[in-house]
Amino acid sequence: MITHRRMMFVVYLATFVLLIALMIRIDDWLTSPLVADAPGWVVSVHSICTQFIFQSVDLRQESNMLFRFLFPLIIIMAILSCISIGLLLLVVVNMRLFSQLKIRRYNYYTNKAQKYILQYIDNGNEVAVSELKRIPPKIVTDQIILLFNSIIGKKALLLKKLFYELNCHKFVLSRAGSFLWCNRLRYLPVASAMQITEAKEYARKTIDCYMPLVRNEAEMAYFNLEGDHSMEFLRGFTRVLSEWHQLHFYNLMVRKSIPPPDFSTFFQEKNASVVAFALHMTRLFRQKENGLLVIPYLQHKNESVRKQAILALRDLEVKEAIPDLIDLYNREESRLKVEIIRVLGFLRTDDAMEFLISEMATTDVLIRIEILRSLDYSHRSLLLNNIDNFEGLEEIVKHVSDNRIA
Amino acid sequence: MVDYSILLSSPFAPGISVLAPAFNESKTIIDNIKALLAIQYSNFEVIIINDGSKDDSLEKVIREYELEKVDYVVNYRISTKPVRGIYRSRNRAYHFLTVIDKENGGKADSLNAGINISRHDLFVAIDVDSVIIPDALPKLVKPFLQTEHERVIATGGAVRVANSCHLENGHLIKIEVPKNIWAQFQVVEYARAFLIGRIAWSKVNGLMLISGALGLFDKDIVIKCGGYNHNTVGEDMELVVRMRKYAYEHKIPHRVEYIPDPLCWTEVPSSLKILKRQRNRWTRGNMDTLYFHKDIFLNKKYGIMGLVSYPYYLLFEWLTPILEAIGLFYIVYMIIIGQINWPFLGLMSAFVYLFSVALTCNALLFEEITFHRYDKMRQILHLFIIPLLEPFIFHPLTVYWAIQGNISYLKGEKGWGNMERTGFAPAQKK
Repeated sequence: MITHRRMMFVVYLATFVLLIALMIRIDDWLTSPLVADAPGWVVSVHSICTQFIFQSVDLRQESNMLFRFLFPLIIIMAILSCISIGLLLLVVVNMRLFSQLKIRRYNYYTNKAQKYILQYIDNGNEVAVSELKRIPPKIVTDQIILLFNSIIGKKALLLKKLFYELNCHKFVLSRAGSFLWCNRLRYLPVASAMQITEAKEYARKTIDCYMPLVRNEAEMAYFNLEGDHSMEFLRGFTRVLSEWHQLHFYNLMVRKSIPPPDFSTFFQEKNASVVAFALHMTRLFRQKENGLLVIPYLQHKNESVRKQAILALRDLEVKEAIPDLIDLYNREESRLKVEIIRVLGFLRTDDAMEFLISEMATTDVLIRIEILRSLDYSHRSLLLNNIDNFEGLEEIVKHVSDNRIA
Repeated sequence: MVDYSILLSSPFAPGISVLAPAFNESKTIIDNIKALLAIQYSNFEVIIINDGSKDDSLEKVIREYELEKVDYVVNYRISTKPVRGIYRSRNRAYHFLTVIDKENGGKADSLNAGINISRHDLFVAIDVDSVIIPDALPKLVKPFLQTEHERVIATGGAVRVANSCHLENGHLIKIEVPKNIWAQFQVVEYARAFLIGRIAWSKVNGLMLISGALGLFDKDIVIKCGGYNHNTVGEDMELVVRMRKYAYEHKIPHRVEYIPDPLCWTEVPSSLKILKRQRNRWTRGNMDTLYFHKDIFLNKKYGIMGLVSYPYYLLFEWLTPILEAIGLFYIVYMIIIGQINWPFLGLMSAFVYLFSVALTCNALLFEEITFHRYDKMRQILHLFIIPLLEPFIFHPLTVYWAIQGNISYLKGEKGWGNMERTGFAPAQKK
């Protein structure tokens, strides 16, 4: 599988090999005479560099391996330095002077596009359509999508109609299927927003991209373009579905009111990040019917899966999980212990209370604070009536309710 | 292309405690707290730690933010100097602001006090004299959410020079190239360090330093490895090294990430006296860390940190100024005894100079293409003159100060020395 790390390694290796090849080539060039018809500047460079080598001829003979590579390396560095300084000046001049012309042109077309788009959605002006066809499709597409993302209702539908009438979908499709990742990154979300179903295939192909940013956009586009929003692509998914990607899915479902699929169907997946995601979504969308199915995941080997299972059991109020939670508590590290206490304090069954009372005997202040914090007023009183007093208890109890405790 | 605003209302956004130690920062503290309170994030708190300031910093803050002393139970997971009081605001608008007043114990001790009181799992350590941009937290937290195979234990952002910049209500409203020559040298120096070196180290997961001016840390790991070390003046680097050591020893696959965006703007020394003190401190901090963790050197147990990063810091950060000085003395000696090969020396120096200038110019070019923070052509051209002068003026001084730092370290000198602030330029009236 191509990963970001492997790509980086290949690039480093290729650069290194190229550098060595270049050094050997330059060394050959410097130690051999120039062809007679070489341009004047080449002769000058060759002469300076040869002079440099001539100055160090003794060193070169004494330790020829080291100096054989050192001097060409310095020369390469010098050449690259000159090139970069030259390029730098060109880029700065271009950005500062010529880009002004580009910006002026862009602004001219943008203003024009905005004017005709508004004319079209206000009164369906057909002249506007013909005018918009004369403007570069990239600018028209950008302006339509900008407006489309900020309005809803009838005018949004009109915008979509205009988008198709101007054949912007063909332009977007060509870019979304482009070889260049930057085009895919930019136009897959547009295709998704405008529901260009032909782009689904491009999104599916891009889902395996090694770059997380591009992959994220492809996942979102594919999900949005799926007719039934079933997230089928997550079955057998080999990449990691990071929390950053998960939050985008959640945001998309909430923002577009997409009915969430039954996430319990992903509980059996081998990919731990997909299971954690499914548990998280089960919790956030309150899929209570899946509550009991979550319990076995308290034993999962992956920590984030266990954490999501604990949180899901709390929010789905699965009281049947209390014995499993108590059992897990003794094996878990401190961060998850705190989460388990919060769940037990929230569920407050007799078993849970009994366990929390016994845990107050621990000397860990953090655990004691968390236990008191997790309970409501009446259960806190019940707990305090059943435990022995200890130093600082009064102060902790006092500040648990005003949250002046750390 | 990345929409950070998605984090502002997301249940996925982890809580963050912003810790800002302050010592005699009376001139800038109000503006800086304003900037911290204006951070765009959904779930955060701001904790200012007054480290026994001798000026009126605390009084100013109490007055401005209507603070009152409150009872507060603190579970001291890291030991610190005694806390004299904890303050919260009577004004609900500042409910997420807490001020700790404690006895003077240094920056590390103050940060430890802040960690003890912080409520969230992640904390940001910032210098209160720095201004962080409003969307710094979403940018810093993204790697924690985007991690795939490794646990991200710390992230840091690029720090830029804010001297001569204009500030209004804690926001930078106009970015200018500093008028002071020493600050200008530091602009290019920071650009080179943050836009070339750290990006590369982050790519290979070899970062050993998150700038003390701005870094986001996993509190769990920080507490487990004992918090900031107050026996060094390089506590920022020392903490990162210790966190990574802890992670390697406990077989936690981890990453330290760097975000090249300019997230934090800070006032740099503009006088030679203060600059000298700062560089002396940096050298001592670097030496402390290298000495405390000498067992890392070429130790494969510590992965890339032991095999690549540590030797790099040893050779290029600590030893280079010494080798440079020895080289210069050797040249002088060779001149005296008449053994110098002038053409060779000239050509070699020319190549070194060219390379140094090109490297710095590339950093500035990167800044110009990606962030484009300096608007005026005049400012950019001005900045491009600095790399031409730097090797003759600023670089020899930094070498000299680094050697002085080595001597101070061997003499057993501790302490930070005063860092006098001039404060930011106020917003210009229209």
